[in-house]
Amino acid sequence: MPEPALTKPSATVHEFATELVVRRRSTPAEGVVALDLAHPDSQHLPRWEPGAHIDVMLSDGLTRQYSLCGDSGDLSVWRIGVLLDPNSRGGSRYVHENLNEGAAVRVRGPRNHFPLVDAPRYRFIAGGIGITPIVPMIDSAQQAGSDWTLLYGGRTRASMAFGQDLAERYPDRVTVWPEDERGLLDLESLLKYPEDNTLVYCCGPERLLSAVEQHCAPWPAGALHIERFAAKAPTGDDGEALESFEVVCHRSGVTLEVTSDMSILETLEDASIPIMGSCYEGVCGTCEARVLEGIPVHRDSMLTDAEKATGEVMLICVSGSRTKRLVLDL
Amino acid sequence: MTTNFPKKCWYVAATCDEIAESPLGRRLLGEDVVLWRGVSGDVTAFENRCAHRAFPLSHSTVDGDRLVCGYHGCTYDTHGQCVYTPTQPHVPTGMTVRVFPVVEEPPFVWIWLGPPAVAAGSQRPDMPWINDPAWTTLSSACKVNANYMMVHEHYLDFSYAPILHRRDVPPEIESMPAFNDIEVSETTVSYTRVLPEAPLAEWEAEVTGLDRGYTYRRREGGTFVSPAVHRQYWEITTANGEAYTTTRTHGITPETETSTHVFMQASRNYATDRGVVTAYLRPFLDEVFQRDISILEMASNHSGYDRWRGGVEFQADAAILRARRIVAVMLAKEAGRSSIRPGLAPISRSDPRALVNPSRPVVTHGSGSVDAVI
Repeated sequence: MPEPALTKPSATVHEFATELVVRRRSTPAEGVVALDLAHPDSQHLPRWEPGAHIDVMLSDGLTRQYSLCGDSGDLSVWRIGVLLDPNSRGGSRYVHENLNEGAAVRVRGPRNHFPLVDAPRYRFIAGGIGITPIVPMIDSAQQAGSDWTLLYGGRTRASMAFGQDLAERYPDRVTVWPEDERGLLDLESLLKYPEDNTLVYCCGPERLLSAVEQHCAPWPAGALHIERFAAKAPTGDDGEALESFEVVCHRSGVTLEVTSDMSILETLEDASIPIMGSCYEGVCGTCEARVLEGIPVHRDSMLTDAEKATGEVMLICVSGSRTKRLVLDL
Repeated sequence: MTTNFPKKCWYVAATCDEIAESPLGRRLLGEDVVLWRGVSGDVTAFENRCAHRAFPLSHSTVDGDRLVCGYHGCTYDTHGQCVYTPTQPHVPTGMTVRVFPVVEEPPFVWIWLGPPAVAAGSQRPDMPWINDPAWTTLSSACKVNANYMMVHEHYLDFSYAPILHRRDVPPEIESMPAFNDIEVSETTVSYTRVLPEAPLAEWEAEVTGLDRGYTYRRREGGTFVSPAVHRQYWEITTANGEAYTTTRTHGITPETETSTHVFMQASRNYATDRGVVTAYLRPFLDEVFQRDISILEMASNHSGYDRWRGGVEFQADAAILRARRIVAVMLAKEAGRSSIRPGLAPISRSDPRALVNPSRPVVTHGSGSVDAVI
């Protein structure tokens, strides 16, 4: 009898990862460095679309996400822009201090949680270093012949990367709005009247995102697209979350006990249930799972309030359960 | 079924040698296209319809860098502008035919059928092995009466090989092992599987000239490069580490919703100067190709893509599910639909499929692409 074929319980699904070198380093604004990352053998890198970001693995266990802000048609280089955060947990400080030209750095991705949907008109809003994903979006919108404007806020003119360049290239479309000269962004004028066939794309600090979300409340559902790097502060029903509960993976036919020290995602990963996670903090949506039975406690920053209320889906990297049994379509 | 092919993508329109003296008419992504080569050597693609009587311009003649309609003789330059009508000196204003961006990168002529303005911002996939002197490549093409995603999905799941291509799978390999690795990026998915050591199949022995008395290690892998391109490789490794790699690159171009042009380039990094190997490989690969086509056409005629993709998925489908999701995101963006999630596409809990089969086999891909809407 022939030998039975080798079998494994499941393949590891992982993202493209490789080591790149810093080909070029520049300083597009005060406190900001732009790094052009390229393959050491000049191999082409995977294609990406505007809005994509990569993981940069900086040192032991320190991973940061940075939007790609270069030319998406150039497969030889990935460009990222990194602001030195004075309260840095180590990420931006490491980049500024260590990633000089010629330095090697491990990266993973790209992935895209901020895709640019085709539309006849865009209102781009950027705050500070949140300009990075918007830059390739502008290139794309311009190339497609879409109508667009950019409202770009920052502390001071000198701190705003790519601001001068964008304003010179598109004087009729770009409004650079330094806070020390003009105060807070005038979102009221921009967003007061919902516009037809128009999408709003916003990236920036949490207070800007929250303000834009509020201003866009009367806009049609789906018009506003935001990129949120840090998770929103948890709200709501956490008090009802159970310390431990049972998760049933319906399609895999596996039942597991989830305890307070592990997320559902980690528990499933440990049990070799094939599933992909990415951000592990409830912002990216990669691990979104359908709930067949039970009531989740949502702790993510991604699902809409309406989606949370239906309880039909959940992000298992952060969310928990308020019922002893949670049946997932996995 | 609505069309499920993204338009903002470069597709293979033809191989370079197909576009010679006579214009070539071909339906691509539902568009009736004529491809022609002017005296300067450049290829031009028009909508295949004369602006006068909608006569097919594929029945015209090339005159220098102009195309002369075979009905009334209306003559077009490479910009699609009519520059001459035989019966009056003045060409009516606005007498033009639609021009599609094309790029010739041997062995393929690529076409862009999406909005022309954004063509320049998009790249053709890299396939350096096809023109690398360390490899030898042979070419074949065929039409398959099945949706283009069925072709992709067929090639992204090679687990049928021991059934469909029994004689061509090494003896002793009764079933294909599970994937060892699946690598994804925003726009691509690749898989690799390692096969147990086994003796040579007949074709392997014939083309590599390796000793039939030994067993060999093998790797098989595939990549969804874009909606237009798939690549597969089959690598036999000897005890001293030499790799004999046969790669099939498939240009996969929808013709209609239910038919697909497949442009196959088979490259090998061994016996590159041996014509006798090419002479063996060509009919062998064509026979494999024909078996693939007949399976796909049977499935298409019997069930169509909607039922095909509605089936139960298992581990071997992991790469397929990811590819579906990549395409679903492209389609949603093109359609201006904002509800794109990297995770599962929203479907109602009342979907009967959800609870039909509690003993459903393990789904490899947890991020729910099972239900991604294409």
